[in-house]
Amino acid sequence: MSSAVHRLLQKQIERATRDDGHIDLDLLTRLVSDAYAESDIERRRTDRSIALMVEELDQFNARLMQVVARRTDELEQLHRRLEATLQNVDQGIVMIDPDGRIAVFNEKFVEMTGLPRAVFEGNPAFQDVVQLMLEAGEFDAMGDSFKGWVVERAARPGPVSFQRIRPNGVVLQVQALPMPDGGEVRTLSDVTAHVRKSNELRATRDMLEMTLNNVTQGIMKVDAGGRVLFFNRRVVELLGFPEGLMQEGVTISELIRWQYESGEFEGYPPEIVEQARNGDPGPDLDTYTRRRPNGTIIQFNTIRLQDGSFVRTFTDVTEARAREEAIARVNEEYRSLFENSTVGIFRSTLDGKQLRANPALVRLNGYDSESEMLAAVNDIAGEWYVDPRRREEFTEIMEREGRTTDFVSEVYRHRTRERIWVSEASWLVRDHDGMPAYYEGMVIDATERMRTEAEIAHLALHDMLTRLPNRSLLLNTLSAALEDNRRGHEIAVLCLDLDHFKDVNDTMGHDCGDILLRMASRRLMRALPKRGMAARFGGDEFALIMPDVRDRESVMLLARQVVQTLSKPYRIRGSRVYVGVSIGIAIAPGDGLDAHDLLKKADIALYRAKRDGRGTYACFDEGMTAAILARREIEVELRRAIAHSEFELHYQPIMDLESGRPSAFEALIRWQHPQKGLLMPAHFIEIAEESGLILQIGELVLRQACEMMARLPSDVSVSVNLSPIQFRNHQLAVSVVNALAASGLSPHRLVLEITESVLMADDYRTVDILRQLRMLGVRIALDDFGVGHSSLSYLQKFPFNKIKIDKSFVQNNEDGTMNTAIRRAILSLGQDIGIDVIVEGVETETQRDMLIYEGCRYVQGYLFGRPRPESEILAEFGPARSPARTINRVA
Amino acid sequence: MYAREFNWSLSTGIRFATEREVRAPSLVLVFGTREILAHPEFIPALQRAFPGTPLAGCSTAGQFDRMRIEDDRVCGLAVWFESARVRLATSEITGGGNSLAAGQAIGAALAGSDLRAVMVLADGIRINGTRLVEGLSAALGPDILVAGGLAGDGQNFGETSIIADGPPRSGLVAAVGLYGAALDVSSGSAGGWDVFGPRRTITRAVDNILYDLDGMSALDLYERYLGEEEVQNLPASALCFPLRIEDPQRPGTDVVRTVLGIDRDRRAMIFAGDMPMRWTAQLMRGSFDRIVEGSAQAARNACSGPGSQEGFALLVSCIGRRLLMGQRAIDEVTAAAEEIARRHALVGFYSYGEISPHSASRTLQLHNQTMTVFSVRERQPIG
Repeated sequence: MSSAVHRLLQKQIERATRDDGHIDLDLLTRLVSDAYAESDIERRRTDRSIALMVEELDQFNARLMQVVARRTDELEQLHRRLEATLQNVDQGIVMIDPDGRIAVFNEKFVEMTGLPRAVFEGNPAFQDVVQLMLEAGEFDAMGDSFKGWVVERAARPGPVSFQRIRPNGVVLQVQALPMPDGGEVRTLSDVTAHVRKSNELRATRDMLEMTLNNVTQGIMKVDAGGRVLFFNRRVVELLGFPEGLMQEGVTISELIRWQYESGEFEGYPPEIVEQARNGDPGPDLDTYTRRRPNGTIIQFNTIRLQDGSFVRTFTDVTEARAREEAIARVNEEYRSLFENSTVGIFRSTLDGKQLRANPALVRLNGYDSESEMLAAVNDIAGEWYVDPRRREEFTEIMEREGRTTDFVSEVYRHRTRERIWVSEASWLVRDHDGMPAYYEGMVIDATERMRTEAEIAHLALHDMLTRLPNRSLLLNTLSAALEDNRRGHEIAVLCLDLDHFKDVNDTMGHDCGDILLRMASRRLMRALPKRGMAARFGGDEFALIMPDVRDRESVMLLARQVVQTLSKPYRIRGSRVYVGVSIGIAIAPGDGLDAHDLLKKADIALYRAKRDGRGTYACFDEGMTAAILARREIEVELRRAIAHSEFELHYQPIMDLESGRPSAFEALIRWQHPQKGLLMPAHFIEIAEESGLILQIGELVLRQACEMMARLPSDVSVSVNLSPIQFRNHQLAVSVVNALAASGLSPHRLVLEITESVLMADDYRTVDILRQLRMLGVRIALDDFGVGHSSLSYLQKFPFNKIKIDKSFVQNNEDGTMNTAIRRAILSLGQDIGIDVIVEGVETETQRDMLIYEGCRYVQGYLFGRPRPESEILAEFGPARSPARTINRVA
Repeated sequence: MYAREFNWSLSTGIRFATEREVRAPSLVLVFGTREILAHPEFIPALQRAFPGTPLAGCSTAGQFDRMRIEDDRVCGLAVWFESARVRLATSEITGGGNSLAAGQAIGAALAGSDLRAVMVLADGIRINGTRLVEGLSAALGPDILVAGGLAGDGQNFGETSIIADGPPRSGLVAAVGLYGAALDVSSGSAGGWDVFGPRRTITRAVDNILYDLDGMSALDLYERYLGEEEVQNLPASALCFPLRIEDPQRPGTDVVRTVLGIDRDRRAMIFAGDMPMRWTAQLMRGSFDRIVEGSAQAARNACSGPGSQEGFALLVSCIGRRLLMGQRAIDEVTAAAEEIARRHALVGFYSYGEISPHSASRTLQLHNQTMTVFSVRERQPIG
C-alpha cells in the first residue's frame, strides 16, 4: 500500500510539475486533496457495502434460523413418525452402527430374536446378540452349518439376504443393507405365509404343468411379439414338430416356416402356402380347423389376452369329426327313413298328444303336412280309435310290457273319419330317470291285410272249389252243436261219396270233374234242411250235418232226397253225365257224442253202403264187422304209409340158365308197418286198389325200382308189376317216363308185368297205353300166364315181350303130366313166336334140371333166390360200374 | 513491423515519442475526447502527416499510453507492417435495431482467406453491442480473432463518435481487418471485480433494460447500495456496482454488465448489453488492488510476456474502472503495461464496452468493467 501511495504521489507530482520544472503547488494540493476525497469515497462505499452485506447477512441469518427451526420441527415430526412406523411395521428392524453395536431396533425385532427385551438395553454388540440367540436355540431348526455361518456373518457386515426358520416354525426373510457411513440395517420379515403360499403355488404349478402335459389338448401361450412363452408336450405331438424346434422363445413365424418346409401346407390354396412361406400367421381367427398331411384334423382355438398375448389350444378332432359325420350320416339316414318310409312313424305323449308324424303317417291320416296334422290331433284315444277302449288296452300293454307289436285296431282316418285298420308297433321311451316319457312307434295301414286275413280265415274253413265249409269247419260246427245239445236232440251226420266220380275225372278231365262237383254242391245245398250244414271234405267226399233231428225217418228222408237229387243227370259241356251217391249215416247221441267219432262212424256206414251196392245209404250200427273197420283202418294207414315212405322193394332174381347169372330182378313191394312189421302185398294191395291208392303206390314202386336198377350192371333188367287199376289212370305212361327219366335207366331194362285181368276189361285204352309204353322201349311181360281162361287169346291182343308161367305149372305135382305138357307147350310157343318165357316157382334142382331139359332159359324161384332187400342185392351184384345217368327223352 | 505512439494537441500538433519512419504507415489509430476529435484542425493534420494511410479511432472516456492517462491530448499509434495488409470497413447504425445486421455486414465486407483479426470500434451509445457481436461472430466464425470496444463520452453518456478515414461521426461502426499469414494476434480480458451479496435472478427485463431482480426493483437496490450522496450521481455512480450475469443452464458464460443510464420514471436501468430473463445476477464491487491485478492478468493473457519483438497492443478499459479508481486508475494502466513487451507500442482508452473472446470459453462477447488487451505482431520473414 505504501508503494502504491508513493507511486500515486509521484504521479501527482509529475502532473503538478510545470514545463519549466517548477511544481504547481496549488495543483498538487488539489490533486492530493482529491485523492483523499476519492479514498474517502472509496472507504465510505466499502463501509456501506460491508454494512449492507452485514444487513443482508442478518436478514439471511434470520431467514436461515426460521428455516432451521422449521426444518427441525419437521425432522422431529419425521422422527416421531419414523419411530411410530418403526414400531408398527410388521418387519423386525435393527440398525447397527459402524462399530457393530445396535443403534436402533423395534419391538418386532426383539420378538423375532426370541430374546428378552432387556438384552437390547445399552446398545449391545450385534454379534453378542446373535451369540445369545444361538445359545437360546434360535437357530436349532437350521442345522450346524447355518449356525456357524450366521455367527460369522454377524461380525462382518455387508449386504446379505437369507431365510431362516424359527423354532416355532415361523419363516423369516432376513435382509441386511449396508449404510453409507458404515454399519447396516437389517430387516426381518415373517414370510411364513408367503413361503407356504409359494409352496402351494409351486405345487399348484407343478400340478398344472403335469396336467398341461397330460391333457389331450396341445396348449401354448404366445406373447404379443409372437414368441412362444410356454407349451406342453401335446403341441409337439399334435403338430409333429421335430425334437428341439419347439422351445420357449421360438416365434410363431419360425414354426410356420418349418411347417411350410416340411410340406405341412401342400395342397392348400396358393395364397395360404405363400403366407406360410413367409411365416405369416395369417388372419387372426379365434377358431379354425384344418387337416394335417397325416390325416389328423386339428382344431385351433385362440384366446386373446389383454396384453396382446394369446393362448392357443390344439385339439385332435379327427375322431370327433368322424363321429360327428357318422352321426350326421346316421341322422340323415334316420331322417330319410323317417321322411321316406312308407310306414307311418310317430311320437306321442303319454296322454295321447301327437308330437311327431312322418309323411306316411300324415298321409295315412288324410293330411298334407305334419304341422297340419299335429295341430288337428289332440286326443288319440278319443279321436282315433273306433273303439276308444283300444287306447286303454294300448296303454295297458305299454305299461306292462313296454312295447306292442302288431297291435291291430280299427281307427278313423283322422281327417275324413273313414274307417281303416292299422297295425301299430310301438314302444315306450323313458327319460334319463327311467320314467316313461313318450311313445314312439310305427303304423301301417292294415286294412288290406285284415281283408286278406278274413279271406284266408274263410278259405281255411271252406272249400275253394264249391265254397262249401271244409272238414274243419264242419267238425267245429258239429262239436259246437254237440256241446250245445243240452236238450238231448239227436244230431245226424251224413257222409257222402259220389259213385263213379273218378271215371268222370278220368274220362272227361279234372275241369269237368270240378264242374260236376260244383253242380252237385249246389244240389246238396238245396236239399239241406234249415240249420243244416253241408261240407266238402275233398275229392268227391261230402258231409252233412242235420241238427235237431226229430225222428230218424226225417234223416232217412233227407238221405233219400239227396240220393235222388244228386243222381239226376248233369249236363256238362254238352254231355249228360251220370253219377250216383252213397251215403253213410251216424246219429248222435246214439252213435256217439264226439264229432270225430261220429264222422268215423258215418264213414264206416258209407263204406258199407258202397259195398252193398252203390246209390244207396246205410246207417251205422254196431253190427258192422270188425273186418270192415280193419280194412277201413288199413286204408287210412296206407295213406299214412305213402306219406311216410313206409314201403320198400325186395328183389328176386330171374336167372338166365345159360349164363348162370340173373338176367333180371322182379321188384316186389313190402310194407314196413310201424306196428305190424313187414307186411306182404296180400295184406294191402287189394285195399290199395279199392281205395285208388294203388296209383300212388304204383308210382312209388316204379320210381324206386328204376333208381335201384340204374345202380346195377346194364345187362340186368327189372320187372315191375302193374295193377289193372293203374291202367285206368291216363297218367301211367307219364309216370313210367318220369321214373325212367329221374333214374336215367335205359327203357329196355324195365319190364312191366301185367296180369290177364288187365286185358280182361277189354278196354281199348289199355292196349293203347301198352303200345305207348312199348314204343318207349319198355318191355311188357304177361304174368301168371296159363291160369286164366283164354290166355292165348291175349297174346294175340298185344305183342308181349315176355311171358311168365305161373308157378303152379312147376310145383303142382298132382297133375304133373298135364302141367308139364302145358309148360312145354308154352315154352315151345315162346320159342316159336320169339318171346322170352320165364318159369316161376322153381324151388328144387330137379325142377331146374327138368326145365333145362325142356329148353327153358329164364327161371325164377327160391332155388335161385328169395326176394331180398335192396341193400343185399346191391351188395352182391352191384354196383359194378356207374351207369351213365343219361336222361332218356321220349319223343 | 513496428509501431510508434504519438500525441496530438492543438498546441503541439503530432508529436512522436521516438523517431519515426519516413514512409507512410500501414495503419493509424487515434483516441481522444469527443470534443478534441471534433476539432477542425485535427483530421486535416493527420491526413497531412499520414497521407493514404487508413485512419481509425473513436471518442473515449480517457485515453492512455504506457505512462499516463490523457484527457486533453489525443493518443495515437502508427503501424508499419512488412507484409500484412489492412482493410477498413464501416457500417452505419440507424438505431439499436440493426446492430446485428451491422455486425454481419462488417464481417461480410472483411472476410478473406488470410484475414487474421478484426479490430472493432463502434458507437457507444446507439449500438446494441451484444447484437453487434452476434452479427460479427455469425459472419466471421470462431477462427477470426475479434477485439475492440465501444466509443465513450467521458462521464456524460451523451454522444460518441467514430473516425474512419475522415471526420468523426456518430452512429458508425468501423472495423480494421488485418490480413497476412505472418500475423500473430491474441487477446486477453479480465476484470478483477469481486461478487458479493446474494445471487439474484433477473425477473423482468427487455433487451438491455433491467426492471426487477428477484421480483424487486433493481433501481431501488442500487439506490440502497449507493446511498443518498451517490444517488445524485447516477448513472455514473452505478458504474461502481456492475452486475455479473450468467445463464444458470450454461455455467461459464458469465459476463459483467455495467450501467449506461437510468429511467427514474419507469424505475428502469439501461445496461451496456442484454439482460436475459432468468439469468442470475450478482452485484460486484471492486477494490483498487484487485482491479489493478485484473488488468495485469488481461495483459498476461494477451501477451506471452516481455519479448524483443516489435508489435503493438490496443488496451480497452471500462469507464467504470476509471470512475472507481479515480487518480489511481493509472495503476491499472501501468500494471498492464508492465506485462506487455517493451518494444510493443501501446495505446488504450476508457470505453463504454469491451469486445473480446471470453477468457475461458473463447466465445466472442461484449464485456463491461474489464481490461481488454489486443496484441498484434508480425513475424519477420526468414533471411
